Amino acid sequence: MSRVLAAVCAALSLSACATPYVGKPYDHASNGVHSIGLASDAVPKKPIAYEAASVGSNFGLIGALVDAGIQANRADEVNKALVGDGFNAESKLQGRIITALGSQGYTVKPLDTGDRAKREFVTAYPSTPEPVDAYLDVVVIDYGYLSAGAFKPFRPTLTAKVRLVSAKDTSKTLMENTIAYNDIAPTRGVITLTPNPTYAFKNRTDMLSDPKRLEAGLEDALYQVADTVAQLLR
Amino acid sequence: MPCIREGIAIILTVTVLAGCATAPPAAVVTYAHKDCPASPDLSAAISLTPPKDKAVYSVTTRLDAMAPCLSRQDGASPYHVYALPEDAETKTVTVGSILEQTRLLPPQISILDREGKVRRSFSTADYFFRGTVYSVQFQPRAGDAYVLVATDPARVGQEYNSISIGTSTSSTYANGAAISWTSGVDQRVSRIFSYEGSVEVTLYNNPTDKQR
Repeated sequence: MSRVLAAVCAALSLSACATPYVGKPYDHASNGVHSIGLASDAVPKKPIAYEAASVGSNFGLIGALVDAGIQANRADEVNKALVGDGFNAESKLQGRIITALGSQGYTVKPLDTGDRAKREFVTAYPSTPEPVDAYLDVVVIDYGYLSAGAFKPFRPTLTAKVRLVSAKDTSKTLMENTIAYNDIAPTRGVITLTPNPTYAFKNRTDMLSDPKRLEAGLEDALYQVADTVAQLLR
Repeated sequence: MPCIREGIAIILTVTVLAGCATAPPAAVVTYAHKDCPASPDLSAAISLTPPKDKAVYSVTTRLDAMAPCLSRQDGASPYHVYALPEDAETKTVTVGSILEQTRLLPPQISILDREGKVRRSFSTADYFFRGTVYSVQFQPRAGDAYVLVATDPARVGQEYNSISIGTSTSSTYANGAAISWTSGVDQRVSRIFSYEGSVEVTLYNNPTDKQR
């Protein structure tokens, strides 16, 4: 009992000490960035379709195992529906970022930075035929559909981290932020976007019955995040 | 048996506390103050210098009918002015209003020099919800001395609609064992932009590029 109490006290102390997340704002006036190289592999290959407080997760280890199978199967079915319809999340996000930043006066060139082994920022940026002032690295951690729990609607979700680094000195971060679209709970310091109420699906059957709408919900989330990235560089 | 007694005591305490709960403050959509000065009173600035050096330092202030008032082109509104610390250039500052249950203050934030002249202001597109704080974020430059936070009168009375999701866990005792059940929460919330609300200013020590 005393060990349990000690562990609880230690956990509470650690959470009290944890430094909240803070982004690095972009200072347009002092950085003089006009041309940007945009890193590739921004979006994971497969979307998620996850139910947070599912019924199975309330029934211990066996429930959790059954639940993992149900969750994986749902994600596979959603993925198949989107692939069948030719949905390309990467090109949607990159295209929107290029357009939004272009309207703010930036010249944006897509770069081939290869596939990411993990959902982390690129560590070495390739040289470009025409030099750029900075590299923009958008890393979507996960995206897809999220339900708060059993009998709650599935809504689009997306979490991304974004960084702009100087091309002259890639150890110099000019802007960094984390953006969460329809997160399970707002995190202090993280930019939190509320989901578009248009795209809500009652359950798995409802999601799979209308791939076009399923795709439109994700496209809307990707566009909102892309627009937010552009706004952070105003 | 002691566990059951403790459980009942906790339930009773929660029930009594729930009975005492007051309604959340409602949106204030009218502002009675008139003949307000055109410039802020810098002598009443709230200090943002922590009593001792801290990596993160937050100041939360009520912006209500008792706050000083400021007259500007788009109307009169309550305000607070905050004095940046001497070493402000080594900090990242987040300033904004805290999301309340039924209302949200639409902030209008400017950075002032030592004489109170506006050095830069933020447009609506610069505001984001960082967690539950509707805020702007900046790194002070040389010459920045004060942060002015006023209510944006043009947005007062408008609705802000959002959807929040989360999970909720309830626990019960049965046959001496605790049983907990986690369920999902998905709710649409409508709030009104209000003249009054809470303002939070947080200063963070800048991490080095290596620490990022």
